[in-house]
Amino acid sequence: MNFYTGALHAVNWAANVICPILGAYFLCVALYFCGQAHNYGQAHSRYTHYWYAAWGMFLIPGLMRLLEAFTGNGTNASDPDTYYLALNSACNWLANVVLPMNAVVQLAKAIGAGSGVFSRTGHTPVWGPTHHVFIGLMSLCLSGIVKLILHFINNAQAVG
Amino acid sequence: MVQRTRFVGHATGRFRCLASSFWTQANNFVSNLVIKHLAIAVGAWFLMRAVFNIAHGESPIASLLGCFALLSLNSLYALMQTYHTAGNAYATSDMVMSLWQFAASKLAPVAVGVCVMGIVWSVAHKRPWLHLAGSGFAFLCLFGLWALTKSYLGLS
Repeated sequence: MNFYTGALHAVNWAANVICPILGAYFLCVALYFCGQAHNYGQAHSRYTHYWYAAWGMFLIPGLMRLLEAFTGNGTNASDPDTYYLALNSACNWLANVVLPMNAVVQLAKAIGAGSGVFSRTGHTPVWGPTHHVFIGLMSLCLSGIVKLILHFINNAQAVG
Repeated sequence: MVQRTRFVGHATGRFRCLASSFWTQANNFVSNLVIKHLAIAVGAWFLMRAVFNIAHGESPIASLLGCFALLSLNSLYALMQTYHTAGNAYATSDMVMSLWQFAASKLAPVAVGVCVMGIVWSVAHKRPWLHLAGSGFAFLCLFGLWALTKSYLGLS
């Protein structure tokens, strides 16, 4: 038996066999606690980490490929900038892929909050929809906002 | 046989016979008892230790790595033999560097998988996970980080 092969098989077994089962387990837990939260008047967002963990468990091979893609798939592995470029790629992915998707979710939440369908009492918070719309716009404009700040910094001149 | 020749060296007569016999017995002891039987038994105990680690709420990774190392003792020995350059004055440091390259190129990508699972597990339990993401990237960039560290010190 080879050490590398043994370790690889163990991790593959954990990622491809155990993790999907744990994902189903987390879905069950999330659903159960969601019902409990509704009974006791708690916010559903207190248990959303179980939803995220469940999807993460199903997506572990994909997440692994994502990390590999950020690091350049091993091309030019001895480049001193590899780590910096990996973090830069991850930041770009978050800002330009994940945050626009978050903007869509926030707009849906704004509609839900404005209509009151997610409210147990039927009471709609005054600033609820506005809050979600604002976060959605900020998510869409993050790259532009960062570039604007950098523009101000780069073109700053001494006052007086 | 090469090691045996080295061990016996230029001894002559009865001492040579004794040395040769001792080498044969030691070789049999290591290959037949230690590697083929004892290491597997101790590896099985390490596996049980990993389960006890989980029961105690501790990480089983160290015990599992020990178990794997014991079960693969034979191939690890063969690997080190391939890295050994006989007759080289810097054979020890060369072997250590080769082992580092083996760990960085073969084992580190496997460790990234463990990091990813750790990230999702930490999200599920509302624990900090950014350090796992950072170390995951670092495991994939070990050669680049090594080049970066050398460049800090002005080494080529």
